[in-house]
Amino acid sequence: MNRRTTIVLLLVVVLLGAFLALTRTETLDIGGEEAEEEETFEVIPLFEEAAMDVAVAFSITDHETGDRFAAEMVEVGWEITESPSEPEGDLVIDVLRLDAAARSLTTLTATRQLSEIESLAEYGLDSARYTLAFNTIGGNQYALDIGGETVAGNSYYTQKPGDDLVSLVSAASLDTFVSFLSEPPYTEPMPTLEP
Amino acid sequence: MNDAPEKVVEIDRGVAKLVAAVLGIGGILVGVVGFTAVGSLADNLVAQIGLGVGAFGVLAYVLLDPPAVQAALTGRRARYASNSLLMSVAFVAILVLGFVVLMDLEEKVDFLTVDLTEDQQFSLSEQTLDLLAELEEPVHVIGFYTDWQGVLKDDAETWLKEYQFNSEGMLTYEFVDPELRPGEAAQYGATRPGVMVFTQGERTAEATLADERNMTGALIRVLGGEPKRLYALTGHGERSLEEFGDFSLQQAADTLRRENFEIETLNLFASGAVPDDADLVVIAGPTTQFRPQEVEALQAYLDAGGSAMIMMEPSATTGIRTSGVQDVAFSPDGGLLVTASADDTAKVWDAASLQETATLEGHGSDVQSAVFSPDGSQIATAGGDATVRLWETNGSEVAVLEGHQSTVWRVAWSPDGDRLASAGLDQAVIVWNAESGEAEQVLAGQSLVLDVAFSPDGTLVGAAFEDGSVRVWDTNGVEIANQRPHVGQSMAVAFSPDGSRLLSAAFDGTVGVLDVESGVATTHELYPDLALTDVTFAGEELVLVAAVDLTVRAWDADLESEQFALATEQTDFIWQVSVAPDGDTVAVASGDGSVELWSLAKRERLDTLRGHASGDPLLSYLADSWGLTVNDDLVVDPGGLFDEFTPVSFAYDTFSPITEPLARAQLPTFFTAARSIGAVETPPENVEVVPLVLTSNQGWGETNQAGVVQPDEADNPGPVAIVASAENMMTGARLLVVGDVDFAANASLQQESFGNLDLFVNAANWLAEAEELINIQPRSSTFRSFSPLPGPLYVLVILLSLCFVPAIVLAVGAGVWMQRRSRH
Repeated sequence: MNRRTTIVLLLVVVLLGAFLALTRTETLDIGGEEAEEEETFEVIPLFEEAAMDVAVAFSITDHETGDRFAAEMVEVGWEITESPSEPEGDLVIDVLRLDAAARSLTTLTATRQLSEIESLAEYGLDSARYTLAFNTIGGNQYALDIGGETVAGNSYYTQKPGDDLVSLVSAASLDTFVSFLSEPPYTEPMPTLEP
Repeated sequence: MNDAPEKVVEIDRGVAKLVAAVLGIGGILVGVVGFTAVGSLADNLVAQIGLGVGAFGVLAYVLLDPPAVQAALTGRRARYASNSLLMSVAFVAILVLGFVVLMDLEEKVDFLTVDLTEDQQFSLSEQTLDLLAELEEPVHVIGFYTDWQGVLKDDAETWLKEYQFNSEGMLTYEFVDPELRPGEAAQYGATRPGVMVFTQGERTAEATLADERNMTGALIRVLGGEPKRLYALTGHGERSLEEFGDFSLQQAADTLRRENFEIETLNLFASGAVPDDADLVVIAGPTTQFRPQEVEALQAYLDAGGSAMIMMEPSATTGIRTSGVQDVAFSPDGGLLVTASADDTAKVWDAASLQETATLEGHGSDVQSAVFSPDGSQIATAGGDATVRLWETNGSEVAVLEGHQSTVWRVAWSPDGDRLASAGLDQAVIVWNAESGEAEQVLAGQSLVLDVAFSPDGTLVGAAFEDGSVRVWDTNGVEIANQRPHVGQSMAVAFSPDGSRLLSAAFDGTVGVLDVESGVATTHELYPDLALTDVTFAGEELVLVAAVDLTVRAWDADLESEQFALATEQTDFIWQVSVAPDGDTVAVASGDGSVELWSLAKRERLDTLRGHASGDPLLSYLADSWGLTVNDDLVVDPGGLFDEFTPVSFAYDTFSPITEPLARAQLPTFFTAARSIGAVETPPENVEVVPLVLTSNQGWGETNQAGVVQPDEADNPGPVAIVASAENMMTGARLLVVGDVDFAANASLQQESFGNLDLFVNAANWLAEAEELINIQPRSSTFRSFSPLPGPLYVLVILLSLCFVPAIVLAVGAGVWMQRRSRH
C-alpha cells in the first residue's frame, strides 16, 4: 500500500477517534450526573438481619390521630395489648390475621431505594404519618416510618430511623398494618362441638 | 558410582514447532471463545488459561524458529499481507467510527432521520407540524417516567425529539422520575407514572400515551385554552357518542375530546333551549322526527350565531316512519277514520265528508299508530313518547299505558276488545288488559318490532321484526312460531280472515306466508326490485300490498298473480293501507301527509284527505332558513367501496377549510347508505351554501328506495352532494349537514386509509370556529406481525441461507485457489 494512502487512512481514523473521544467524554460527564440519580430497582430486604428471626410483638402508631395498635405473642397465641377500638359483642382476636401479619414483618422488602434525598417532606417523611415497630424472638427491635404514597399509589415512602435511604414499600404489604388501626383484627368465634 | 552418560532425549524441532503452533492457536481460540461467552476476563478461568496457553505457544514458536518468524514478518508476502490487513483494519475502523460519530451527531441535530415505514408511523402529521411551526410561546413538556419504565420513556423521547426538532426550539422537554420527585408530579397534576404533561404558562394538559395522537391532543389542549363545548342531542334515537360498538360515534368523540372539546348530551325537549355555553350542537342520525318546539329551540340557538352538525340517515335504511300520516284506520261502522301523524297528533275524521271531528293531542311526540276499539267507542294510539294512549272518539284522553322503553310503532286491538297489543323500538311486544291498563305479557323480541296484529279469534298475536322474522305467540305468552321468511325488514303483518295464515310484507319485496298450525313459513317473491311497506286482506279474496313505487297492488289470496294496481298521487312512502268495513273503500296513508281513499271495485281514487302537517319540521327548517334540502333518496354510485350504496368520494370543495386538507392529501371518504343533500333554487338572504363532498359523475340519488336501482327522471341526477355546509354571513351561524351518520361511526373509522375522521373533526373545528386546528389527523401505525413459515418452506429457507449460499462461496474460493496453484 502506498505510504501516503496509509498516512491518510490513519489520519482519518485518528481524527474520527479524537472527535468521538471528545464528544463521548462530554456525554459521560452529563451521564455521570444522571447516573448518580439513577436508582436501583430490585427486591431489597428491609430488615435483612431479621430474615431468619420471628416477630413476637409489633405495633403501628398513627402520628396524626394518636391511635396505636399493638399486639404481642403470648403462650396461647396473640394478644392485642393496645387498640384504638374495642371489639363489639362476642368477637375474639383474629389470630390468623395477626400471625400472617407478624410473619410478613421480618421479610418486608422494598422495591426501590432512593439515596439522593433533597427533602424528606416531599415523601411525607419529615414527620411520618405512621410508625411500624416490632420485636423479634431474638430480642432485636426494628422500626419503620411510613410516609406518603407514590404517584401510582401502589407504594409507600418509608424510612428506617437513622437511615439515610428512603425505601419504597408495596402498599399491599403495609396496608395490612394500617388497617389494624381502623379495623382491629377481631373475628367471630369458631363454632365448638357440643357434646 | 555409575559413570554411564546421561541419556539425552532429543526432540524433533519440527514436532516442537507443531506442538507450539497448536498450543498457540488452540489456546487463543479457547481464550477468545471463553471471553466471548462470558463477556469478561475477570473470574473467567477458561478464558484466562486459554489465553495464557496461547501466549506460551506463540512465544515457544518464536523461540524455536526465529528466522522463520522474521521472514514471515518481513518477507514479501508479509508486506502484502500487512498492507491488506492495515487497509482492512483502517477501513473497518473508519466505518465503525464514522457510524458512531454520525449517531452522536444525529442525537444532537436531527438531520439523518428518514422514515421508511409504509404509513410514515415515525413522521409527524401535517396537523402537528403546523401546530409546532406556529408556536408563539414556548411549550415545555415534562415526561413523568419512573426508572422501571425505560421502554416507555424511550418511546416518549423518540417522539419528543421530533416535536422539539420541528418546533425549532419552541418546545422543550425533560424527564422527571415521579417516584423520586413526587412533589413535582403533584405540582403538574400528573395522575400516574408514564404520562407527559405539556405546559405553557399556567396551562397544562396531560398526554397519557406516548403517541402522536395523544401528544398532539395535549398540545392542542394546552394551546387552546378554554375547551369547546359540544352538545349531542338525544331523544330521537340518535347514535351514542359514548358507547362502544360499531355504530356509535365514540371514537370520533374521543378525537374531539383530545382536541379540546367537552362533550355533553342534551335533550332539547326537556331543556327547552340550547345552553348558552354551547359552541356546537351535534345531531347524530335521529330515527324519529324532531318536535316543532325542539326545532324552534334549535332555530333560536342558530339565529344567535350558533353552530350545528346534522347527520341524517335515509329513511330506507331504517324502515322507520318519520313523516306524514303514519297510520290510518276505519271505525267498525265505517263512519269515522282515524289518522296518526308525525305532527304529534292523531285526528278523527268523518269518513264521508272528510271533515275533522276531533284532534287527539297528548303524546307530545310523533304518533305512529291509531286504531278503533272493536265497539268503536274508543281509539288507541301509540307514539314516540313510548306510551299507548286510550281516547274517546271526541278526543278526550282516557288512559295512558306505560311500559315500553322507547317509541311504540304499532298498536292493535283484540277482536273482543279485552286486550291491546303494542310493538316498539325497545324490541318488545306488550299485551295489555284494555280495561285495567295493566301489562299482561311482555313478549321479548330479537330486534325492532315494526308491526303487531291479533288473529281474528283473538287467541294469537303476530309480530313483524326488523331482522326479517315473524313470530306468533298465544295471549299467555307461549311462542307458537318463529320464522324468518325475509332478508329485509318485515314491515307489516296481517292474519287471514280465517286465522290460518299470517302474511308479512318486507322491504326485500317479498311476502311471507306463515302457516299458523304447522309453523312453517314460505316466501313469495312478489317484486324483487320493489320494497313493500304494508300488507292487508281485503275480504277473503284479495291481498293488498303497498309498494315504494307509491302503488297499492292487489293479489289473489294465494299470491299467485297480481290482480290490479292502484297508482296513488302521493309523493312519499305509503305507510299504511286500511280497508273499510264495506270491503271496498281503502284508505292509503302516506309520508307526504295525505290519505287517499280508493274504491277497489271501481279501482279509482275517491278523495284525498289533507289536514296533517306534512314533512319533518327539522327538514322544513333546514330548507326554509338555510336553503338546504335533505333529499329522501338513497345515494347510488357505481364506483362504491363495497357496493353501489357505499359511495367513495374524492370530489371535494377545495376552498372550504373543512375539505381542502382532504383534497390536498387526496384522501377519499366513504359513506354507507347515504342520502343526498341539495340546495333550494333561491337560498335565503345572507346564507352561503357550499356542497363539500360530491359523488362521482356516475352517482345519483335514487328516490325509488330499495326498488329499481337505475337513474330515471324521478331521481336526483348526479353528481349529488352528500355533505354541505352553510354559513349565515349576518349572524355568523354555521351549519353542516351530512346525508349519513355511518361515515363517522366506529366501524367506518377503522378504515384509516380514508379521511372520514378528518372530515368529521375538521367539520367540528370549523363549526366551533377553531379553524387553526383543521388538518389531517395523525394516523395510528399499522400493526404487523410475523407469521412463522410452514415447516417445509422454513427448512428450505434455512438450507438456502445457511448451506447453499456459503457452499457456493466456498466452491468458488476453492476453484480460484486450485487454479492459481496449478499456474505455479
